[in-house]
Amino acid sequence: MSNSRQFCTFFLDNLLFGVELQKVQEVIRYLDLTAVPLAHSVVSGLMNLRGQIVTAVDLRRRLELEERSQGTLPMNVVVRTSDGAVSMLVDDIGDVVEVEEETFD
Amino acid sequence: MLQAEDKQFGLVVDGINDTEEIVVKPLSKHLKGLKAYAGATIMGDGKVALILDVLGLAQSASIVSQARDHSVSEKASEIQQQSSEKHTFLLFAGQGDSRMALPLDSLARLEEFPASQIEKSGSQWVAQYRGQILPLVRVNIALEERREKLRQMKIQPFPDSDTVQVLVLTHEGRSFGLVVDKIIDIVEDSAEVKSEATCAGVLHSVVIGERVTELLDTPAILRASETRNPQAAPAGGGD
Repeated sequence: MSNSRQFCTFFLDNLLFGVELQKVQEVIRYLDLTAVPLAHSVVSGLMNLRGQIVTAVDLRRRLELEERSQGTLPMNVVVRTSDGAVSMLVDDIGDVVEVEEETFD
Repeated sequence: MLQAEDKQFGLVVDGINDTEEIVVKPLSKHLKGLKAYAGATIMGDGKVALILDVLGLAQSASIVSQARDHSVSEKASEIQQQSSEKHTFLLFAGQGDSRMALPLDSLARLEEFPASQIEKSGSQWVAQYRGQILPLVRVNIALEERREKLRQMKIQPFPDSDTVQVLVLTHEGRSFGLVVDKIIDIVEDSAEVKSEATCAGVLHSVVIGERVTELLDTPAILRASETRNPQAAPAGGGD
Protein backbone atom coordinates (compact mmCIF):
# COMPACT_ATOMS: atom_id res chain seq x y z
CA MET A 1 0.00 0.00 0.00
CA SER A 2 2.82 2.38 0.83
CA ASN A 3 3.86 2.21 -2.77
CA SER A 4 0.68 3.74 -4.10
CA ARG A 5 0.04 7.40 -4.61
CA GLN A 6 -3.21 9.28 -4.77
CA PHE A 7 -3.99 11.80 -7.44
CA CYS A 8 -6.74 14.29 -7.91
CA THR A 9 -7.72 14.17 -11.56
CA PHE A 10 -9.32 16.83 -13.73
CA PHE A 11 -10.10 17.52 -17.33
CA LEU A 12 -8.87 20.17 -19.72
CA ASP A 13 -10.10 20.07 -23.29
CA ASN A 14 -11.13 16.40 -22.77
CA LEU A 15 -7.64 15.47 -21.66
CA LEU A 16 -7.20 13.86 -18.25
CA PHE A 17 -4.65 15.36 -15.90
CA GLY A 18 -3.78 14.74 -12.29
CA VAL A 19 -2.03 16.39 -9.39
CA GLU A 20 -0.80 14.77 -6.24
CA LEU A 21 -3.65 14.76 -3.79
CA GLN A 22 -1.36 15.86 -0.96
CA LYS A 23 -0.75 19.13 -2.73
CA VAL A 24 -4.42 19.85 -3.25
CA GLN A 25 -5.92 22.10 -0.62
CA GLU A 26 -9.44 21.96 -1.94
CA VAL A 27 -11.63 21.79 -5.02
CA ILE A 28 -14.37 24.39 -5.31
CA ARG A 29 -16.78 25.81 -7.80
CA TYR A 30 -15.95 28.91 -9.79
CA LEU A 31 -15.64 32.11 -7.77
CA ASP A 32 -15.77 35.66 -9.08
CA LEU A 33 -12.39 36.85 -10.25
CA THR A 34 -10.86 40.31 -10.24
CA ALA A 35 -8.77 40.70 -13.37
CA VAL A 36 -5.21 41.89 -12.96
CA PRO A 37 -4.23 44.17 -15.86
CA LEU A 38 -0.57 43.92 -16.89
CA ALA A 39 -0.24 40.46 -15.38
CA HIS A 40 0.79 37.46 -17.48
CA SER A 41 -2.07 36.23 -19.62
CA VAL A 42 -2.26 32.94 -17.73
CA VAL A 43 -3.33 34.85 -14.63
CA SER A 44 -7.11 34.90 -14.81
CA GLY A 45 -7.44 37.04 -11.75
CA LEU A 46 -7.65 37.16 -7.99
CA MET A 47 -10.34 35.55 -5.93
CA ASN A 48 -11.53 35.77 -2.39
CA LEU A 49 -11.17 32.34 -0.86
CA ARG A 50 -12.74 32.82 2.57
CA GLY A 51 -10.83 36.03 3.17
CA GLN A 52 -7.64 34.85 1.57
CA ILE A 53 -6.62 36.41 -1.74
CA VAL A 54 -5.71 33.62 -4.12
CA THR A 55 -4.32 33.93 -7.63
CA ALA A 56 -6.18 31.91 -10.24
CA VAL A 57 -4.21 30.53 -13.15
CA ASP A 58 -5.94 29.45 -16.32
CA LEU A 59 -4.44 26.03 -16.85
CA ARG A 60 -5.68 25.85 -20.44
CA ARG A 61 -3.67 28.92 -21.30
CA ARG A 62 -0.73 27.75 -19.28
CA LEU A 63 -0.63 24.50 -21.22
CA GLU A 64 -1.38 26.35 -24.45
CA LEU A 65 -4.61 24.50 -25.09
CA GLU A 66 -7.57 26.03 -26.84
CA GLU A 67 -9.48 28.71 -24.97
CA ARG A 68 -12.43 27.54 -22.92
CA SER A 69 -15.66 28.13 -24.81
CA GLN A 70 -17.65 31.13 -23.66
CA GLY A 71 -20.33 30.54 -21.11
CA THR A 72 -18.74 27.51 -19.49
CA LEU A 73 -17.44 28.10 -16.01
CA PRO A 74 -14.24 26.43 -14.90
CA MET A 75 -13.65 24.81 -11.51
CA ASN A 76 -10.95 25.73 -9.03
CA VAL A 77 -8.34 23.22 -7.97
CA VAL A 78 -6.57 25.05 -5.16
CA VAL A 79 -3.07 23.74 -4.60
CA ARG A 80 -0.60 24.57 -1.87
CA THR A 81 2.67 26.00 -3.05
CA SER A 82 5.67 27.37 -1.21
CA ASP A 83 4.25 30.80 -2.03
CA GLY A 84 0.79 30.23 -0.63
CA ALA A 85 -2.30 28.83 -2.27
CA VAL A 86 -2.77 29.06 -6.03
CA SER A 87 -5.88 28.05 -7.89
CA MET A 88 -5.76 26.19 -11.18
CA LEU A 89 -8.79 26.75 -13.35
CA VAL A 90 -9.83 23.45 -14.94
CA ASP A 91 -12.82 22.33 -16.99
CA ASP A 92 -14.07 19.58 -14.77
CA ILE A 93 -13.03 17.45 -11.83
CA GLY A 94 -12.43 13.71 -12.17
CA ASP A 95 -12.03 11.09 -9.47
CA VAL A 96 -9.32 10.63 -6.94
CA VAL A 97 -7.28 7.74 -8.29
CA GLU A 98 -4.82 5.59 -6.50
CA VAL A 99 -1.90 4.52 -8.60
CA GLU A 100 0.60 1.83 -7.68
CA GLU A 101 4.18 2.92 -7.86
CA GLU A 102 5.12 0.16 -10.28
CA THR A 103 2.52 1.19 -12.83
CA PHE A 104 4.28 4.50 -13.35
CA ASP A 105 5.79 4.92 -16.77
CA MET B 1 -4.33 64.10 -7.83
CA LEU B 2 -1.32 62.21 -6.60
CA GLN B 3 2.21 62.94 -5.66
CA ALA B 4 5.32 60.84 -6.10
CA GLU B 5 8.83 62.11 -5.55
CA ASP B 6 7.68 65.72 -5.40
CA LYS B 7 5.95 65.52 -8.72
CA GLN B 8 2.25 65.91 -8.97
CA PHE B 9 0.28 64.00 -11.49
CA GLY B 10 -3.30 63.08 -12.11
CA LEU B 11 -4.92 59.75 -12.73
CA VAL B 12 -7.72 59.69 -15.25
CA VAL B 13 -10.37 57.32 -13.98
CA ASP B 14 -13.87 56.44 -15.14
CA GLY B 15 -15.47 57.27 -11.86
CA ILE B 16 -14.87 57.54 -8.16
CA ASN B 17 -16.83 55.14 -6.01
CA ASP B 18 -16.00 55.86 -2.46
CA THR B 19 -13.21 56.27 -0.01
CA GLU B 20 -12.66 53.44 2.35
CA GLU B 21 -10.21 52.27 4.91
CA ILE B 22 -8.79 48.96 3.90
CA VAL B 23 -6.23 46.40 4.85
CA VAL B 24 -3.73 45.96 2.06
CA LYS B 25 -2.65 42.39 1.57
CA PRO B 26 0.50 41.75 -0.40
CA LEU B 27 0.18 40.12 -3.80
CA SER B 28 1.54 36.64 -4.22
CA LYS B 29 5.06 36.23 -5.53
CA HIS B 30 3.73 35.50 -9.01
CA LEU B 31 2.41 39.03 -9.28
CA LYS B 32 5.10 40.83 -7.30
CA GLY B 33 6.78 41.87 -10.52
CA LEU B 34 3.93 44.21 -11.31
CA LYS B 35 5.06 47.55 -9.96
CA ALA B 36 1.71 49.17 -10.59
CA TYR B 37 0.15 47.43 -7.61
CA ALA B 38 0.83 47.83 -3.94
CA GLY B 39 -1.37 44.86 -3.07
CA ALA B 40 -4.95 43.80 -2.97
CA THR B 41 -7.77 43.93 -0.49
CA ILE B 42 -11.13 42.34 0.10
CA MET B 43 -13.99 44.80 -0.01
CA GLY B 44 -17.11 44.74 2.10
CA ASP B 45 -19.02 42.85 -0.58
CA GLY B 46 -16.37 40.13 -0.74
CA LYS B 47 -14.86 41.23 -4.01
CA VAL B 48 -11.13 41.51 -4.43
CA ALA B 49 -9.83 44.98 -5.31
CA LEU B 50 -6.35 45.80 -6.50
CA ILE B 51 -4.49 48.63 -4.79
CA LEU B 52 -2.45 50.84 -7.06
CA ASP B 53 1.08 51.80 -6.18
CA VAL B 54 1.51 55.51 -6.83
CA LEU B 55 5.26 55.43 -7.20
CA GLY B 56 5.15 52.37 -9.41
CA LEU B 57 2.55 53.96 -11.65
CA ALA B 58 4.54 57.16 -11.89
CA GLN B 59 7.61 55.18 -12.84
CA SER B 60 5.88 53.14 -15.48
CA ALA B 61 4.48 56.32 -16.99
CA SER B 62 8.00 57.81 -16.87
CA ILE B 63 6.78 60.68 -14.74
CA VAL B 64 9.48 60.02 -12.22
CA SER B 65 12.77 58.36 -13.01
CA GLN B 66 13.16 54.68 -12.36
CA ALA B 67 14.39 54.65 -8.83
CA ARG B 68 17.34 52.48 -7.96
CA ASP B 69 16.30 49.29 -6.25
CA HIS B 70 17.52 50.16 -2.81
CA SER B 71 16.14 53.66 -2.90
CA VAL B 72 12.60 52.67 -3.74
CA SER B 73 11.58 51.78 -0.24
CA GLU B 74 13.53 54.75 1.10
CA LYS B 75 11.68 57.12 -1.11
CA ALA B 76 8.39 55.45 -0.40
CA SER B 77 8.84 55.98 3.30
CA GLU B 78 9.96 59.52 2.63
CA ILE B 79 6.75 60.17 0.79
CA GLN B 80 4.80 58.64 3.61
CA GLN B 81 6.53 60.95 6.03
CA GLN B 82 5.75 63.94 3.91
CA SER B 83 2.14 63.01 3.72
CA SER B 84 1.96 62.40 7.43
CA GLU B 85 2.66 66.07 7.98
CA LYS B 86 -0.20 66.88 5.74
CA HIS B 87 -3.79 66.02 6.37
CA THR B 88 -6.29 64.72 3.93
CA PHE B 89 -9.52 66.63 3.80
CA LEU B 90 -12.81 66.00 2.18
CA LEU B 91 -14.06 69.23 0.65
CA PHE B 92 -17.71 69.92 0.19
CA ALA B 93 -19.86 72.85 -0.71
CA GLY B 94 -21.23 74.93 2.10
CA GLN B 95 -23.73 77.71 1.99
CA GLY B 96 -23.54 79.88 -1.06
CA ASP B 97 -20.19 79.42 -2.66
CA SER B 98 -18.32 78.70 0.56
CA ARG B 99 -16.23 75.65 1.05
CA MET B 100 -16.22 73.36 4.02
CA ALA B 101 -13.99 70.50 4.94
CA LEU B 102 -13.63 67.58 7.29
CA PRO B 103 -10.53 65.54 7.96
CA LEU B 104 -10.96 62.43 5.84
CA ASP B 105 -9.94 60.13 8.66
CA SER B 106 -12.90 61.27 10.72
CA LEU B 107 -15.26 59.81 8.14
CA ALA B 108 -16.38 56.23 8.04
CA ARG B 109 -17.81 56.22 4.53
CA LEU B 110 -19.32 58.36 1.84
CA GLU B 111 -22.79 57.37 0.80
CA GLU B 112 -25.37 58.51 -1.64
CA PHE B 113 -28.94 57.79 -0.66
CA PRO B 114 -31.86 58.05 -3.03
CA ALA B 115 -34.24 60.67 -1.69
CA SER B 116 -36.93 58.00 -1.46
CA GLN B 117 -34.88 56.19 1.17
CA ILE B 118 -34.97 59.12 3.57
CA GLU B 119 -37.59 58.82 6.23
CA LYS B 120 -38.88 60.91 9.04
CA SER B 121 -38.62 59.68 12.59
CA GLY B 122 -40.12 62.10 15.08
CA SER B 123 -38.44 65.38 14.38
CA GLN B 124 -35.39 63.77 12.85
CA TRP B 125 -34.58 62.72 9.33
CA VAL B 126 -33.20 59.20 9.22
CA ALA B 127 -32.12 56.62 6.69
CA GLN B 128 -31.85 52.89 7.01
CA TYR B 129 -28.24 52.00 6.67
CA ARG B 130 -26.62 48.60 7.07
CA GLY B 131 -29.28 47.32 9.40
CA GLN B 132 -29.20 50.46 11.52
CA ILE B 133 -31.14 53.69 11.64
CA LEU B 134 -28.81 56.48 10.72
CA PRO B 135 -29.81 59.91 12.01
CA LEU B 136 -29.18 62.52 9.36
CA VAL B 137 -27.86 65.94 10.24
CA ARG B 138 -27.95 68.58 7.57
CA VAL B 139 -24.84 70.63 7.76
CA ASN B 140 -26.28 73.75 6.27
CA ILE B 141 -29.29 73.80 8.51
CA ALA B 142 -27.37 72.85 11.63
CA LEU B 143 -25.03 75.77 11.01
CA GLU B 144 -27.70 78.16 9.96
CA GLU B 145 -29.74 77.56 13.06
CA ARG B 146 -26.87 78.37 15.30
CA ARG B 147 -25.91 81.29 13.19
CA GLU B 148 -29.29 82.88 13.28
CA LYS B 149 -30.29 81.43 16.62
CA LEU B 150 -33.25 79.81 15.01
CA ARG B 151 -34.46 77.19 17.40
CA GLN B 152 -37.54 76.07 15.64
CA MET B 153 -38.70 72.59 16.41
CA LYS B 154 -40.07 72.39 12.92
CA ILE B 155 -38.33 69.86 10.77
CA GLN B 156 -36.96 71.34 7.61
CA PRO B 157 -38.06 69.63 4.42
CA PHE B 158 -35.52 67.96 2.27
CA PRO B 159 -34.72 69.58 -1.05
CA ASP B 160 -36.31 67.94 -4.04
CA SER B 161 -33.28 66.19 -5.40
CA ASP B 162 -33.08 62.60 -6.50
CA THR B 163 -30.19 61.67 -4.26
CA VAL B 164 -28.51 63.10 -1.21
CA GLN B 165 -24.84 62.97 -0.42
CA VAL B 166 -24.17 61.73 3.08
CA LEU B 167 -20.92 61.63 4.99
CA VAL B 168 -21.19 58.82 7.50
CA LEU B 169 -19.19 59.33 10.65
CA THR B 170 -19.07 57.84 14.06
CA HIS B 171 -19.07 59.99 17.15
CA GLU B 172 -18.95 58.48 20.62
CA GLY B 173 -19.89 55.08 19.31
CA ARG B 174 -22.89 56.23 17.31
CA SER B 175 -23.13 56.68 13.59
CA PHE B 176 -24.43 59.87 12.05
CA GLY B 177 -24.98 60.96 8.53
CA LEU B 178 -23.98 64.48 7.65
CA VAL B 179 -25.98 65.60 4.66
CA VAL B 180 -24.07 67.93 2.39
CA ASP B 181 -25.06 69.62 -0.83
CA LYS B 182 -22.13 68.54 -2.89
CA ILE B 183 -18.87 66.75 -2.33
CA ILE B 184 -16.16 68.65 -4.16
CA ASP B 185 -12.90 66.83 -3.78
CA ILE B 186 -10.48 65.01 -1.54
CA VAL B 187 -7.29 66.95 -1.08
CA GLU B 188 -4.12 66.69 0.89
CA ASP B 189 -2.96 69.89 2.46
CA SER B 190 -1.08 71.08 5.47
CA ALA B 191 -3.86 73.62 6.08
CA GLU B 192 -1.57 75.84 8.07
CA VAL B 193 -3.17 79.23 7.65
CA LYS B 194 -5.86 79.43 10.26
CA SER B 195 -8.21 82.08 11.40
CA GLU B 196 -10.87 82.29 14.04
CA ALA B 197 -14.13 80.53 13.48
CA THR B 198 -16.86 82.66 12.02
CA CYS B 199 -19.65 80.79 13.70
CA ALA B 200 -20.30 77.94 16.09
CA GLY B 201 -20.03 74.53 14.53
CA VAL B 202 -16.91 75.59 12.71
CA LEU B 203 -13.54 74.89 14.27
CA HIS B 204 -11.64 77.48 12.28
CA SER B 205 -11.07 78.63 8.76
CA VAL B 206 -8.10 77.26 6.91
CA VAL B 207 -6.69 77.66 3.46
CA ILE B 208 -6.97 74.44 1.49
CA GLY B 209 -6.03 74.44 -2.14
CA GLU B 210 -5.80 78.23 -2.10
CA ARG B 211 -9.39 78.58 -1.04
CA VAL B 212 -10.59 79.63 2.36
CA THR B 213 -12.32 76.62 3.81
CA GLU B 214 -14.27 76.23 7.00
CA LEU B 215 -13.25 73.20 8.99
CA LEU B 216 -16.32 71.71 10.61
CA ASP B 217 -16.55 70.97 14.29
CA THR B 218 -18.60 67.80 14.06
CA PRO B 219 -19.09 67.22 17.79
CA ALA B 220 -20.54 70.73 18.09
CA ILE B 221 -22.86 70.17 15.15
CA LEU B 222 -24.02 66.88 16.56
CA ARG B 223 -24.55 68.43 19.97
CA ALA B 224 -26.54 71.19 18.39
CA SER B 225 -28.77 68.80 16.54
CA GLU B 226 -29.21 66.72 19.67
CA THR B 227 -30.20 69.58 21.93
CA ARG B 228 -32.71 70.44 19.30
CA ASN B 229 -34.01 66.88 19.33
CA PRO B 230 -33.45 65.45 22.77
CA GLN B 231 -35.22 62.26 21.75
CA ALA B 232 -33.31 61.97 18.55
CA ALA B 233 -31.62 58.75 19.60
CA PRO B 234 -32.35 56.08 17.02
CA ALA B 235 -35.11 53.81 18.18
CA GLY B 236 -35.01 50.05 17.82
CA GLY B 237 -31.23 49.89 17.51
CA GLY B 238 -30.49 47.73 20.48
CA ASP B 239 -27.34 45.74 20.99
